[in-house]
Amino acid sequence: MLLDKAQIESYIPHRAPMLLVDRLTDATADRFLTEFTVLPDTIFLEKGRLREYALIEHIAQSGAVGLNYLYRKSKTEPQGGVLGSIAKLTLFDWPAVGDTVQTTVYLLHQLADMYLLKGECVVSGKKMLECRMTLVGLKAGGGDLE
Amino acid sequence: MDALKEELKKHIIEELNLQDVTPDDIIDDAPLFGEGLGLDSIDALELIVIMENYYGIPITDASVGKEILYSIDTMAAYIVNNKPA
Repeated sequence: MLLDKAQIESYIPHRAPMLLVDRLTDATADRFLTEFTVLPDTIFLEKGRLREYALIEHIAQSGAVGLNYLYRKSKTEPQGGVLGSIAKLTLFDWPAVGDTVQTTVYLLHQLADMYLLKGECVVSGKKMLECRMTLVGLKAGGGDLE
Repeated sequence: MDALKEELKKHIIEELNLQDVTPDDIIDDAPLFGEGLGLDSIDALELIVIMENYYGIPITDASVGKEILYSIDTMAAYIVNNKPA
């Protein structure tokens, strides 16, 4: 594991109950792995299932954590960004309370402070949701990721 | 060149999920952004991915990209002149 929940709070501005990433488990230049466990008091539950809008937010936070982790490794300070667009979204199922969502975020392309990402959320090997999204404004003054 | 332009339009419609838009709706020399097709700066990133993934042409300079991605005509011309051998 690279970052736990407490450490993640120094990489993105989200706080409970809006913080939807528990762990950053791996980060390379083009791929980030995160985990999030759905608890009974997790926000955005309906009938014991985590709704798709929470999974979308989870992917966006996962991307921001991964990007900022790499930026801090390259000695530039993490910054906030916003979710610019969502595309090609497919919902397969909603995670249940007790499930741990394992998410892979692929960095497909970067241009200046815009990042095109693809996110895939999986629970116990079963895909829950996938989509592409654009994060904007995350550049931390240190130039392109190497 | 016409076949390339038609192919580009299909990629743009598919990748940007432009519902209710057909290739015939996209005018070759009309601006893709703003008053033309109505794309915005975030969509530009998808166009750059199209150029790289389908034609092997990376665009890394945003200021140059603005000229290349101006219209179907400019995109097609850039592909023809810069496509890897």
